[in-house]
Amino acid sequence: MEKKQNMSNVDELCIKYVFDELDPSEITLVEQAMIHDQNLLIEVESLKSTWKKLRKLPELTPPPNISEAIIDQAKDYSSQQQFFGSSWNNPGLLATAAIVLFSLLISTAYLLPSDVITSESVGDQTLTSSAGAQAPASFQSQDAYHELFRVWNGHSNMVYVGDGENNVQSAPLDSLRLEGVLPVTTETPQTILSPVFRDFQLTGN
Amino acid sequence: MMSQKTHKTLHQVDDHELVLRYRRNNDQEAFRQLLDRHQSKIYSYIYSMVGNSETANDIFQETFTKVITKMDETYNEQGKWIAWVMRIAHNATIDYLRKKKRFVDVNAQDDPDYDFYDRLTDETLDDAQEVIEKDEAKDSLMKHISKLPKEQREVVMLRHYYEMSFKEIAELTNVSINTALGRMRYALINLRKMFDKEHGKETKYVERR
Repeated sequence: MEKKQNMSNVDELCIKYVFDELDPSEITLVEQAMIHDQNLLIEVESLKSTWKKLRKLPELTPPPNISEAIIDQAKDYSSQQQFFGSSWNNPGLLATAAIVLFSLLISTAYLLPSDVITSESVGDQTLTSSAGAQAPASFQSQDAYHELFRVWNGHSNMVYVGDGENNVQSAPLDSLRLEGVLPVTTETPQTILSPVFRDFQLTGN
Repeated sequence: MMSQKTHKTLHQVDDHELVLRYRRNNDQEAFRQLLDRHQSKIYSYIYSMVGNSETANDIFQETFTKVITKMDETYNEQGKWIAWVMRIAHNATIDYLRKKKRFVDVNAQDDPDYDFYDRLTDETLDDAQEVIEKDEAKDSLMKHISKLPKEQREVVMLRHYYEMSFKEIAELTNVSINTALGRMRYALINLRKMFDKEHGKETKYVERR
């Protein structure tokens, strides 16, 4: 057992000697041992020469497209990191973003009509009592309509026109059509700001 | 002229500085320099362990995907960058070999004519290029290396391509230094026998025990 342990230590020293991982005192020890033990000398020389042959192992390079793909990946990742990482750590940028977001919220609130009246929330009776059963006199253009009026249909085929100041007029939809005063078509896309509001697009004269 | 100057400068910069430039200044040229400097050794190590270019390409790319995405989290700038990369490459390679082992004949290793390349499944050898590469490899040192048991092969390759100390190899492969030294010793003895057999010589290796 003792002998085996000693042999193991010799093996360790041998391989370290071949790979130059011994300190000077250990090198001296191995070299002295080789003088007295020819088999040890042969073993060390054999290990050395075998390792020397392995030094001729070729170096292989990966295909260029693989290397380029890695470079591109590094670029993409850095860009992402720069945006999501450093951007969020920049107090100035964060403050700017907060101001922009705040301004957006304020302007959104301002743009919303103060008394958005929806077809669902408005009853026929209320409207007919607050306004005469007259159709709006005329509209200069659709732009004017967009700036000054809101037009919607309620229940019972009535068309209502409001100016945002609680002044609402109404007229039966059929009468408008028959008289040819206001040919109307429904405007299908509903706005984000008032999703339940149903508009009419006014066409013709 | 300017780019030549930059290129020359990057050549002279050590790995540590290149990593800093890449991480802190998003310097892509620094990353390219790191890749240029080490890709052959990393790729050769992977190739020598798996024995086919397609798999080596995949593992090589997988290694660098991890390098790119994990550098901020797991790389300690005090350590050697290449040692960290090699650990990733080594782990990816070992993972592949472990998975591969499930699909090959586990008794193949007992065969005295065991050839590492023969352990690969047919699908990896379907491509004609792979067959050519296999033939070429058989005429080279790599053929002998491929015949070594995986543990011995990795010690030889880590030492050869990275000039890692046995302490570093032991740490990377999770064994004692003595085990790493023993593996290298047996690898060299086995290779010597293969060289002798190849040249029709009887082995002159002297067993001291």
